[in-house]
Amino acid sequence: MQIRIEDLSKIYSPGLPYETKALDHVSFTVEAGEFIGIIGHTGSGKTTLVQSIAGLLEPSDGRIVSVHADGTETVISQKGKESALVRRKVGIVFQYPEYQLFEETVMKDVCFGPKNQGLSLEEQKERARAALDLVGIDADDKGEVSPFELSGGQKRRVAIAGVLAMRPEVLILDEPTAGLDPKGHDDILEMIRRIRQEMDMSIILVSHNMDDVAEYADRVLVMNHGKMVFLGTPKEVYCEHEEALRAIGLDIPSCPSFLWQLKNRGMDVDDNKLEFEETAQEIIRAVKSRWQ
Amino acid sequence: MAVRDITLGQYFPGESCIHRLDPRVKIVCTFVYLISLFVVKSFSAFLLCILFLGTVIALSKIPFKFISKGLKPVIFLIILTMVINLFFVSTGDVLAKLGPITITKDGIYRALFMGLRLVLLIFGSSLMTLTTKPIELTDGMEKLLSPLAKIGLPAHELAMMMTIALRFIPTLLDETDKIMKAQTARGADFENGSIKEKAKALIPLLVPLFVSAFRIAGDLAMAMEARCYHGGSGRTRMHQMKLGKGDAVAIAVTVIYLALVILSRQLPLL
Amino acid sequence: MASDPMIQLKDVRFAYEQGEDDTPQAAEFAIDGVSFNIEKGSFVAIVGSNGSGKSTLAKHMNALLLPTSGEVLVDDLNTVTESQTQPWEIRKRVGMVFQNPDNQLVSSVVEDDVAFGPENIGIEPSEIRRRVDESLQMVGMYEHRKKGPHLLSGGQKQRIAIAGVIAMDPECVVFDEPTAMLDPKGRREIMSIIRKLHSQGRTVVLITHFMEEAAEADRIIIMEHGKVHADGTPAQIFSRDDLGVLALPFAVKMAKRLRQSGIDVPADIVTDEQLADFLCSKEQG
Repeated sequence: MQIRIEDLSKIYSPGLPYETKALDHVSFTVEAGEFIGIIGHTGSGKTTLVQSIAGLLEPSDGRIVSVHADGTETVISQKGKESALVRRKVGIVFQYPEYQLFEETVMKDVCFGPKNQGLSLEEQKERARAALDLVGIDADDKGEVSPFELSGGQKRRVAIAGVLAMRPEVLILDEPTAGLDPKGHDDILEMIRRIRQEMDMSIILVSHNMDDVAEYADRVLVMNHGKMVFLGTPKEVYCEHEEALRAIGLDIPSCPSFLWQLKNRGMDVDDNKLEFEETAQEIIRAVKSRWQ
Repeated sequence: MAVRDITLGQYFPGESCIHRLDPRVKIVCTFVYLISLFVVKSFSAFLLCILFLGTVIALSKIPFKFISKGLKPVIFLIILTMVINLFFVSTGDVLAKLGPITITKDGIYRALFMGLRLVLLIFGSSLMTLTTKPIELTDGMEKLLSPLAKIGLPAHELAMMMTIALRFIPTLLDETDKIMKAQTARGADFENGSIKEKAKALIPLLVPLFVSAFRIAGDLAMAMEARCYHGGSGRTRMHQMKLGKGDAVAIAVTVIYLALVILSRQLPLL
Repeated sequence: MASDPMIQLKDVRFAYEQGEDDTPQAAEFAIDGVSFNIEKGSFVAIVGSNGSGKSTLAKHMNALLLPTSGEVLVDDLNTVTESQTQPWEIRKRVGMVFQNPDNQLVSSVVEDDVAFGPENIGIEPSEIRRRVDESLQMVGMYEHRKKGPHLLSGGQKQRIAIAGVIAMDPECVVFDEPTAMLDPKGRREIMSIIRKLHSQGRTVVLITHFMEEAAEADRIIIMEHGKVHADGTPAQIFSRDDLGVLALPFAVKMAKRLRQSGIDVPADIVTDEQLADFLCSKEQG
């Protein structure tokens, strides 16, 4: 499923003194199966954007259209049964999703989404098992345990499974690694990569971590003051718009950032590198040429 | 009606002489004013109250429209009180009879009287909260109640509870909004269905909300302990409340006002 | 080494839940026999993955938790005996900043919140005023002093929390994962305040799982399963190859890679700055 965001705007408290323009005419397309990373400051409109795509906020202007495999289109940013049905194909994992767990057992919690979709008990359980399997939780071992007894990292996986069990075609994750230690962080990202491959879905990842976005995303979307300022491959965005990103006050991934530091100190290096090994090669080349 | 439409208990930022009064003076004067409303016996004496309130409103520079919004959430209560008085006062000249209900002249009089009293009561108390920051009110309360600590009233603890409640209301509202959205995204429906279904639909909201509230409480208790909190004993305050000239004038005016209201009971003319 | 310890931990053990007969099994100890001193004026980072016991250990440094066995001395005061009468004597020496910026602010007005600590230890009103203004200026939040915390960003709230601690004028500040819930901008702000506090001569203990942050300390202690796994300068720590799941800072990884290709990067280079300086100053191999 492809999603087209058309000229989307969102204004909070219109007409009041504290009126804020959270989204300002944003347009782009999420291709089927694509991995998009969204970066920007707190308050840049990232969260408003993804919540609008998930149908949780009504846009003030513009619309969101989903294009199905057969070419037919549905406007999902409006009320009505058909929109609501298609919207279900967009799943969203909130920041700190473990804070939304509420059921007595892990199994029941993961079944909550499928239950609301009106599936039979059998189907609910089957989906829950598959989802728990995807996030690496053993349903036989943990299924009947209270979610509140799990460790922090496990809780988060269960919460993500709760969204996966609804079988979305587009999965939005808002800072899924916030507050985790380095191992928990890597585990979650690897899990997302695996889910994407196995379930063949589009991923929209909101993140503060530039290295993650550079490594995992096909395209990067940069938000600032409610506007989309850049959209392109990680290399295009990070290497060609480096100065502009710095001016906004955003981080640059470690590799180009370090090369840029070297360049600023007068070393003759090419800072258009994103990967660790190619960066190392470039530094070695530059340093060795200085020696001669 | 959205939550933000309620003006009762809300602060209206300003720099007027009423805003600047000591919170203790405002609490005491408001209290006196509220008592005066129950001392009043006749409509004509209400003129005194209206004059007093009107003067204060004018001085506070808060638009009357804004103050009158405070009636919105309690309008039902006022109408109910008026209707009860209208229907159940059975003394005086009978004006109409509808089955078991009689409407009398006294009934109409009482209904209007009670209605006016309630309106003045709400205007008076919302004027206090509109011109005083909640945190100042809390501090004022603590100071006023502190002599009662000797007879076992936990004045400091009550004020601390209010301070913390004020601090965390916005946090918990944000949290509620977030959890509702997250559960909606999982197909929860908070709007449709029978009352029983609606109540059931609240579980996915209430459980996480309680868990959050307990987590906040635990974290906060530890943070307060780390910052050397050990109850009210030996505690000093940064803001020292000092009574100024304005406060003296306010107290004098209020005392004269109360005297006039009490006198009005003796004078048949008023 | 001549030492003037701020905090001394002596064979500290701690169990959250004690068994029926009050003798917990070894496996239940969140802290399991930890001994080390933190010198006055030093900047120590304590690193470890979730569940390594690092936060539990931090809470022993200001008597929020008391050891099940062993002892903790803060400025030569024993936390166990002091807690029975006046634990605030310890807590005004060792202030603490927690992870969640939202859940440690008490008042709905910024300056009142900063005043909370000094008020609790009975400081004179005029002196509280002075300290509040000074600490708000130090963290760069003075112009927000009349605002409500709910209108501020996470990083700003964390700065208020730090101001609230500085206003008590502690000799030592323990930061318990202060940046874990912040965005990169907030993280940078907090780290620069931590550096500033250290340069003022205060003892700083930073609990973190970000190695980039730990690299700025004088000394790194690595915790694993409630025990001290490694203890040394950043250069010593990063040269070890038994750090397991802990991610090395970019500069350390790059330095290792460059050494493989014959660029002789000294072992004490642990930050991007240092590595860039070294590579650019190097004229001859």
